[in-house]
Amino acid sequence: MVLQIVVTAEGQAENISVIRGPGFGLEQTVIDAVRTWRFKPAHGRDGNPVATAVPVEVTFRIR
Amino acid sequence: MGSHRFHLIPLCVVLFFPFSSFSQTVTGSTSALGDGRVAEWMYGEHIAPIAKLPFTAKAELEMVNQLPDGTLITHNTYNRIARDILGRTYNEGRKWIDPTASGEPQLLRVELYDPTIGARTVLFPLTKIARQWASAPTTGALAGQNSTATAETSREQIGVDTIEGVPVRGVRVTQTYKSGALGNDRPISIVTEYWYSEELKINLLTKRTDPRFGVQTVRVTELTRQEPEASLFAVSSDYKVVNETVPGQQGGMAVSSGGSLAAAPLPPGAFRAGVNGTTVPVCVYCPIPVIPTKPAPRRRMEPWCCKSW
Repeated sequence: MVLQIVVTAEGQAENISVIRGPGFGLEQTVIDAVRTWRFKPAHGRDGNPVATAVPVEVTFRIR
Repeated sequence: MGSHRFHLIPLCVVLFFPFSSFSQTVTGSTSALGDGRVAEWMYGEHIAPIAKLPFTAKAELEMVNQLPDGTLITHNTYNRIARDILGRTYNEGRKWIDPTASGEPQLLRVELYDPTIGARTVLFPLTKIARQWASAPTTGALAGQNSTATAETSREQIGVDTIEGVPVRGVRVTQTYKSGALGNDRPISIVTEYWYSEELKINLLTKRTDPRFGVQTVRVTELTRQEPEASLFAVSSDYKVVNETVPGQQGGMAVSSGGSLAAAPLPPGAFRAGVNGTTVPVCVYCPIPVIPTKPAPRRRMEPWCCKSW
């Protein structure tokens, strides 16, 4: 599953959109899980943390 | 004049299918002005869009043609190539230069392929135009897949070796065109040696000897197996993006109206990671999502067997 997420300057995942999903209604569960992820934020040219959009490939388990 | 006739065939392919889903990249051409649109060209390195096998490298291309009087004509160029962890590929096309020329061969085009959204993009740096269309993923670059139906093809294993520190296995493919297949009055044999890396799923050395065009070599050098810069796969904001997708003819996933991921509108206040000096965020807590399966409802067994009693 491929998502585009925005990692905020605080390192949280927001604005999550599905680029390629598995279907079967599984996307929302994965998106909810990705919302809990935490990142070291990217830095802009001035060296300060900035919000950035990144593609993310997510693998998941079905239990 | 007779030798020019052979060059017309590949040229037509370029003219009629400039944006089809070639599995190979046309890396350049050499042509003389006023020679009746005759040109030579050769493929560069094919990079299969395979995820989790990132690398960056330089593909060095050489064409050596020997004229009937023994004169050798040599042209060289190189292309930067890369693939990221998502399987996105970057493949340059630079102008051919002769060995005596100094300086870098001019960058003419960059071909990007993003398998995550099934989008192929060709950047033209000179005009700042990005042509983009939805395209089905290309198949893997197995060694020696370029045989044609009209040629008799034989394959021969030629051993194993190491190139750029990576194990490779060699295959020699010989294609023989019978008399008359190409207008030839006697059989023509084309021999291509592929040195293929199972680890990277690319050919690290390809040498094609064709009596019509001489010896063409593609050699991968300066190989590093690290994640390339994200900016390589992005369309810079100073490019005009032109969507070339013909409705109903695209393979893979359709490209959204915003074009590629790189060209999609950014949320307010957000930057594209890895572009224009912006670094890439690093995950510090990213557990694999687990999706619980709902237990199937237990069917109540009716005691049908006993009701009639």
